[in-house]
Amino acid sequence: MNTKRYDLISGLFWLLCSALIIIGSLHLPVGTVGNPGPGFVPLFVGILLSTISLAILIYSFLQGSSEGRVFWRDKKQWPKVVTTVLMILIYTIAFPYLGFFVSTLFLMFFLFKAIGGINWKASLAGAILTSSCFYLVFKVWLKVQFPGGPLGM
Amino acid sequence: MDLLHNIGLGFSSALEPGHLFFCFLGVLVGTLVGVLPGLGPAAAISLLLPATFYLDPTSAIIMLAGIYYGAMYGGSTTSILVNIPGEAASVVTCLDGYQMARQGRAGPALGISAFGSFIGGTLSVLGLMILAPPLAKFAIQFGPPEYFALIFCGLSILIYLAKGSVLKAIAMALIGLFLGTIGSDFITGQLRFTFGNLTLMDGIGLVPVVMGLFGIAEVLENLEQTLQRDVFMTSYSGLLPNRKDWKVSIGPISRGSILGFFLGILPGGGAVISSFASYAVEKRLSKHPELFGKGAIEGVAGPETANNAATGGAFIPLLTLGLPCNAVMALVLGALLIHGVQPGPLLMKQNPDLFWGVVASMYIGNAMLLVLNLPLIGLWVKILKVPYSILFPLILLFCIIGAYSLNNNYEEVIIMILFGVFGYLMRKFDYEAAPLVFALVLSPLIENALRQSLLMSHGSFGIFFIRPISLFFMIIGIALFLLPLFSFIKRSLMRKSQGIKKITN
Repeated sequence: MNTKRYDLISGLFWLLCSALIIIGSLHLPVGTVGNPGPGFVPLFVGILLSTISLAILIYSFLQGSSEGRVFWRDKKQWPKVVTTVLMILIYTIAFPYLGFFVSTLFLMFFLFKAIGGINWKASLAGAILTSSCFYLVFKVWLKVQFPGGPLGM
Repeated sequence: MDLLHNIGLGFSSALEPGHLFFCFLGVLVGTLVGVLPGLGPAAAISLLLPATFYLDPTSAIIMLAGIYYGAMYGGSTTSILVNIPGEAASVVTCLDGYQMARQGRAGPALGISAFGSFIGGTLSVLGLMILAPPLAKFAIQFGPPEYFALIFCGLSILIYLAKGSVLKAIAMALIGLFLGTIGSDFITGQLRFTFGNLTLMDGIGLVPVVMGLFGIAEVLENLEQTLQRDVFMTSYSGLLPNRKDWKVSIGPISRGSILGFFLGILPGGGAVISSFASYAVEKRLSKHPELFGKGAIEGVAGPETANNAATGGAFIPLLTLGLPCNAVMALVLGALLIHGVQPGPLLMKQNPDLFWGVVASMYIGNAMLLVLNLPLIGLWVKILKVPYSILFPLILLFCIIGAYSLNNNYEEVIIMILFGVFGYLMRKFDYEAAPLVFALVLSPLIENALRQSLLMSHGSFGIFFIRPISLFFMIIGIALFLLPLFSFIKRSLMRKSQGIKKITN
């Protein structure tokens, strides 16, 4: 993919966003210029954004030759990025049910072992150590209201 | 004599044991995140923001400010020893700093950057003390049209200074403005773009966005590449620069202080831009420009002074106008608001102990950093050797807990993760995060100012051009938007005429 393609994709994305913003703000009371309502500024922003995204699109067409560039810097590494995002999402959704300590233990072990590539003994030790430390500091000392889960911790 | 009285008040507040402790903690954490590549002051401050709920506002701001200027010190250490800038503001320090290290002069390089940072930092605090009171007095006259024009001008400076495409920077600023309108409308209470979601009703918080864009996105980017960290082990026993080093550095240090301070006031990465500007200035003024990039001490002294001087300047718009000029200041603004302190022209009158206490703590913090940095360099180098596979799970966990503990709401963690992915993709598509963050923070302010101005003028945009102060800011703002356009047209015209010449030849 060359840089021209990148601009084309992002320009189209912003154009779509601006359309959604404009539609959304028209559902709100826009008011008048002399007495602007809640939809006034979002509508204004949406219109400006659509203009800018068109300009980005036109500019990407005007660009002559452009350099090629790969999307993933390292083909072997990209699954790590995707898995990490999925893991922290699952963690966030699961921890109200499993409780802070248990879910953090799982997350840390997984990140150390699968993403960081540390051997499993060290990963386990590291996971126990970090989740205990975070539990003591944030839940016991700073009294952050984490959900306890079935174990109550 | 008012100034002297206030300085006295500031020092008596900053020297209280509690405040001293948080100042120390701030500069220590700041140096640490400055040393660690992939964790900047913005991410560190967002992580610690929830913890400041438990402190009094003065301690909280003293600590957050300490992180900010502390990171500027720490960033230079890694640039010099490892050729990895710990901080964006220390990128240029790599050029000559690392070369000096390779020539066995790591000590003087580290020494001069610490002394330069100290001098630049303290001089800029002095500038802050002298400039802030008259500016705040001036700003009291500002009404909605002036605020609108000022923010518009700030946004255009930020967009003008953006590294990449101007169009992309404008797009980012517009997205930030839009995100800022999500939640309930402050005049009518009407809900906007919330889709019935309770979290969105309060609006999109700054902290989840900043942590996502700077913390999570950075981790994801680093996971993709294996970081090379060969620490250049050299003896850095003689940390003190010799007389000759001082002689050539004194000019860059004094110029860097002034340059950094004034560039720091401008919106957008003040510290980053001032370090680059200082390097360029020193190279141009030097009698031996050919030595730059080969270990010239001026190339270390100037930028390192400038990036620290910029931190003092950056506080001016926040403390006098209530306008943050970069992501870090936006977070400090957030911290002030959480404690019910409204920054702006009245801050100095209403909370003199906070204002002068924070400013005085910056003097003390700079002195602490000088003492802290020189003997502890060995420790920082050891920390650099901690492998990333151990570091990144901890950074992620800190971000998650930070976003959660703001309101004990896991939906804010999800918002943070989404912005992390968004920020990661933005980096791939060459978009910058700074205009988005700046616009997100200022969105309610600029919307309020715009709507009130239009109410005042019964719908005429002329109100921004008939009042002298707002006219002044509008002219600068519009000129900055037009400049890139003109240069673009000029370039394409030149290309065309060259093309015609080629054809006719």
